[in-house]
Amino acid sequence: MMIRVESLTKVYPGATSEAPALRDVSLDVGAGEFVAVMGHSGSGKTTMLNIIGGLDRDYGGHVTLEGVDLASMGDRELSTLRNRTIGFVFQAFHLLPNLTVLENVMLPACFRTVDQDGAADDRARKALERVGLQHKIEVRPTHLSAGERQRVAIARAVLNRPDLLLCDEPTGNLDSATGDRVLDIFLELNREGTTLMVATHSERVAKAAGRQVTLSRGRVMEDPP
Amino acid sequence: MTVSAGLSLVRRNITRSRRHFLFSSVGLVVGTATLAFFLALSTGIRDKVLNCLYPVNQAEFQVETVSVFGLGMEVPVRLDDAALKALAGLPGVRNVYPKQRSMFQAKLWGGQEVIGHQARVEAFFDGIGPDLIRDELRQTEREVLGPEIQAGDCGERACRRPTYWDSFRDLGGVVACNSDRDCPGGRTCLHGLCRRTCGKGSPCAQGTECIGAVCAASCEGEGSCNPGETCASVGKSHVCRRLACRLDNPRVQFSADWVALRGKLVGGGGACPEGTYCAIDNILGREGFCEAPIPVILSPFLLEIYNRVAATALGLRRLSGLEVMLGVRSAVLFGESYFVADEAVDRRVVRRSRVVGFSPKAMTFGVTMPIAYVERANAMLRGRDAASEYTGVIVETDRNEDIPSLVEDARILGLTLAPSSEEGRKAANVLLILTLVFAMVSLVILGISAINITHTFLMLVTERRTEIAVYRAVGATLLEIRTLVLVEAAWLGLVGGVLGLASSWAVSRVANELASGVLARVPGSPDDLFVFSPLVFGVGMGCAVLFSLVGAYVPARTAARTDPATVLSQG
Repeated sequence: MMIRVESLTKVYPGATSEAPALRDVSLDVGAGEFVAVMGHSGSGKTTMLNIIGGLDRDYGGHVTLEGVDLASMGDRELSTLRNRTIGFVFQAFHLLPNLTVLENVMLPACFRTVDQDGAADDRARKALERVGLQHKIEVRPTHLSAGERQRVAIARAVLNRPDLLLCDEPTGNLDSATGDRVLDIFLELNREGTTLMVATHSERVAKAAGRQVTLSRGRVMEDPP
Repeated sequence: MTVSAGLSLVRRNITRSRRHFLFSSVGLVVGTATLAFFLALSTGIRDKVLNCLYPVNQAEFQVETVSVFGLGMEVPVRLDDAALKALAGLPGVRNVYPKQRSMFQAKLWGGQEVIGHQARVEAFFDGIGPDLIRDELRQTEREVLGPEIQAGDCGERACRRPTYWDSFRDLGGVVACNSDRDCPGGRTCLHGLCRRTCGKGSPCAQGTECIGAVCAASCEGEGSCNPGETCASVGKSHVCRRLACRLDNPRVQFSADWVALRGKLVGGGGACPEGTYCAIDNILGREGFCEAPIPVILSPFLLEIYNRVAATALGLRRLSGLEVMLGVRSAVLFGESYFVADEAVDRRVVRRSRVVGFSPKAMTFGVTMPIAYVERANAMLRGRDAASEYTGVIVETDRNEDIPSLVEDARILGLTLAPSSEEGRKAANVLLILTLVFAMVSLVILGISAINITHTFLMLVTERRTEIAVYRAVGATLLEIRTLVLVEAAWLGLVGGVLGLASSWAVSRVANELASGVLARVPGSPDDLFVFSPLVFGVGMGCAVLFSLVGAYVPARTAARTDPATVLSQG
């Protein structure tokens, strides 16, 4: 099992325990699955992805990734996990404006010490080629369209060939044509074996995913077998 | 994170925020410049002024006049060989060097070749241990005359210049004696010369042999004896023997004609060897022994005072530098005075002296020579007791920190710091206090700059929250986030330190230029008041980097505490 979530509960500081962001969520995601996490705004989709991705460590319950309990991991191990096993794609892209497209894509390699000289550069160029942006490697993100920025973000997320890709509203800021192109990239990655969890409001993305999980007010309302 | 990747990120961040860094570095530059300026100034004053006047690891003691039973009776403590031995046994003492001043009257004349007139003065002498001062003399001589062996294609012999410093030792010149009372302790008057006696239970010192109950310097050939001596066979041994000589007329002793002064060797064979003269037992005599002139050193202050006062007032030729005095010979008449009664005629002797160096340790208004000469002259003219007591002692310690405890220990022996050393301690304390005050001012400036850096970095960290969150999302550890911020701060500190040190050096040049007009009128003042030693650079750079890191510490922790989940979810 790629991901196992058991009795996951999350209460944000200041919020009342009667209105937690997540309450008693349990979920299993197998390796190579493409799961669309649906729900209204504030239903807990982003919170769940952040916890599964190890960005948020303040929760109740258990989350295991490839059999390892995230709560048992120290900062260094968790950082290594995020660097090598997990890729993130955000709705707002979160590219660094002072870096070029190539440098943005290579950012995860800065925190990986096992690369040989030039290996990260090669991988970054291939990742950009895959998303169709090989001709824009020296461009700053501010000169790119929204769709191009999201494709750069995807290239950055897959640089270290992660097993799991966590995407939070990846098409939320894109028009339908551009969103379709991003979705095609996700499907291609999924066909190659990458596990995807995509928090989305998009019906097209949900239909493309093999499985839809619906959250409502912090609970799993629908998770068809 | 790899070092190169980390440095690349740091470089980009610094370039991006260069304006902020520029403003932050102003305090660092000013603080570092102030700190380095005052450290260099205090180091310069300590090394170039205080250490010349009052050397580190050394203190001069003299006899303390003590009060007995509180009755106001003052009994002087005797500073003799026994007291020296006790002093040498104190903790931390490396060496003791006794000093003895002349206790007799003397006149000195000479110097026509350098000042244009024959100077005639009442002479005062000071004797110190040659070992204490020879390295310093050599260093000073190198500074005024250059290296002893010039670089070049010529052979070593051809390039070697005459040296003077190595003559500052007891060359065996002797003031004649009439009885044992005329000789220092441990020596016997034999054939008019003070000699160290020996026998069973009283061996001779190293390099000497006991020949007929008298210690004589052993030798291996003509070159191994003092000037004016010859290496003679005595039984199986070879010992140095003085060459007997005579003058045509006793009046020749007062002559400046060096050829005549060399006289004739008794038994034929020409005159006294080059560099020596025929020294007669008294001013009425004609027979004596070949001797090298007494090596003497002068105080640089004496020359400066001559130039500034005497030369101006009397219209004499000014001395261009210390080097013109090296090798200059003078005559000394022991036993005569311009002020007090002279000694009996048969006890007055004329000797020659030769300037072989300069040192602030030399008497300011007098002439300093190896202590053995002063001891012999004191013994001859004032008796053995006068020669057995020292007027002071310079004590060399292992560490400068040993001196305060040494002062306390010496007090028990009845010795107290000489005024010059006491002044040195006071001056050093004042300098230390001033240095600390200015260092504190500098550190306050650096502290304020650290606060400024904290504000700047907190602002930058807030601006870069998203960037830091992205770093965390792609695998940066908390330590790496902290390190990135601290390396930026260290870089800021390095740049601030370099600029601060450069500013400090530039300001010191200006200060030196402004002060040069005043310093030129002060005898013995250095050309440059500042010493930018590696320590000054190290402390300057170290403080700049340290305060920058201290300022960035809280922002670094704040950066590491950035919650990536919250920041990245905000979009």
